[in-house]
Amino acid sequence: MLAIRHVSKRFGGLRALRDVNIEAERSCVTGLIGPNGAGKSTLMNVISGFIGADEGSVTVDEAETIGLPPHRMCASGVVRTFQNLQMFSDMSTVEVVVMGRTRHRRASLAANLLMTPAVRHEERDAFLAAQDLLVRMDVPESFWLRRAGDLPYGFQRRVEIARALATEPAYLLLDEPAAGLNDKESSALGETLRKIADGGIGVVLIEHDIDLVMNVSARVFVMDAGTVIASGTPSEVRSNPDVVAAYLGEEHD
Amino acid sequence: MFQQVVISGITVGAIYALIAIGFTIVFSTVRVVNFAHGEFVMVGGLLYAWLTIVQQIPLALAIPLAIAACVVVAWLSYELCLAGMNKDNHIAQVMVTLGLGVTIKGLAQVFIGKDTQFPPSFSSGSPLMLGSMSISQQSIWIVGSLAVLLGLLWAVMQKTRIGKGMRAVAINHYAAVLMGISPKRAAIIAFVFAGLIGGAAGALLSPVASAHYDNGMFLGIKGFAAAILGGLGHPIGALVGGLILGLVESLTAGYLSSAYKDAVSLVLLLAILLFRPQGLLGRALPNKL
Repeated sequence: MLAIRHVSKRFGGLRALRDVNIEAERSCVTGLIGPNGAGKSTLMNVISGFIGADEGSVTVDEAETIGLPPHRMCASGVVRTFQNLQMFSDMSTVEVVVMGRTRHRRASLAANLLMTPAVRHEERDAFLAAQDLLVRMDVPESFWLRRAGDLPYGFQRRVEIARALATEPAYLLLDEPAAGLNDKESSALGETLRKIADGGIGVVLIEHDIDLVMNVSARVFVMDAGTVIASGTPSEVRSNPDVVAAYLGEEHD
Repeated sequence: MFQQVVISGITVGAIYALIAIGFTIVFSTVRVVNFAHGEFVMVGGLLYAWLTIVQQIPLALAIPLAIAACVVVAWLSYELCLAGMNKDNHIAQVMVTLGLGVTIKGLAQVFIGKDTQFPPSFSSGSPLMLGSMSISQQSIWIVGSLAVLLGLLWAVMQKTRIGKGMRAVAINHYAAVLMGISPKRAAIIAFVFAGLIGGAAGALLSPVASAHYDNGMFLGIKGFAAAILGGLGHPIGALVGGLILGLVESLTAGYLSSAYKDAVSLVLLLAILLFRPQGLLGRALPNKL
């Protein structure tokens, strides 16, 4: 379980997060919604180690991760994508996904410089794993050797998820993966997320697209003004009056 | 005359390119313009001179020793000065590299001395004659070393996991960190490469231009200008920028007056900064999170 307990964060006078408690189980999708400025992205940055928390703990399968530098997070089993695409644009698509294999590679610096057979073997395995993931994410083979930055936007999003999956995470945090996608692409993404969760990964989905969240999530948390105001199954959340007032109400006026 | 001017321009340009690579590699990985880089080059040259002239060590040993010392200086520079700093405070980091440069220069002056030294060329022998042109042996060493070092750097960056990790950090710091690439390790490797190539540039240069503890700032500015000219952060930019700068200087010195040499190259730099600040080959600056 990915457990966020009593996490608070201030930026000067702004209380960005106030006593946030969220839990995400493996093998299912956990939704996190809330209006702009609710603190979703701040929470994401705290979990992934880019900013520290003032109080509280984040545990990944019981192991505390607060205070770890961000580059150690993927070894603890947490990986994320970004709200605005963070691509290695100048690399080929398959190379981008291979980068996700970094933590699984053991060969030393010297072996790498000498390109020993062990390194070549490792390299080939990483490429095969990357190709597998690209197939799973429905990225057509004709894109694999193209410069990643030149792919259509929707495909770059999928490559970003494939790269995250390449680290073999226990928990995958997705920050607005449906932003900029059309309805059809968005429902295809929902399908994919379900499949990822079925594979045993805990997916945490931060999204503005309420329909997507409600369709795929087993449990939904709603944040407003830096704190969690409701949680439960999608239908419980939908009928919660606080949620309707804080968030859904604005949309259905 | 023209051919001779071009040859000298290419030689000087190759040196500038070697220095520019150090600026570029550190800038793309660590996002810091390392103004101490010129001092790494000076240390390479001065140590090579000191080892060969004062210590009487054979060339084949003195060259790698001088370069290795430069690698250590570059690594320590990062480890002791920059590693612990807030990486978002660019002004403070640049000030630290300037201070570091002055420190290295001071140490060189105290421990190695104030004399200008003229170390031997890497190989002795008469210049190579091509028609009416004469090419000194050291020029061949310089241009050949540039080709070899660039080729090696390219292979490391494109083919090895280490190089790909550094490229990932350069292209997108945040995403690279999430993939478990340590930014500190990438920074150390960048400084080690900068020390290696900078030290080699210093040793290659010193038989032609002499070695002196006070040369670093001047060499740094020329290398920095070359890097900016080609596009800071762009590996081929360093090569193109260095060669153009060397050729322009050499042509100015040959046909105008050597007094105008630096003025023309700095005007060229100003023009680039005004009209194409990303450099000749550079793309617009990478986005931030």
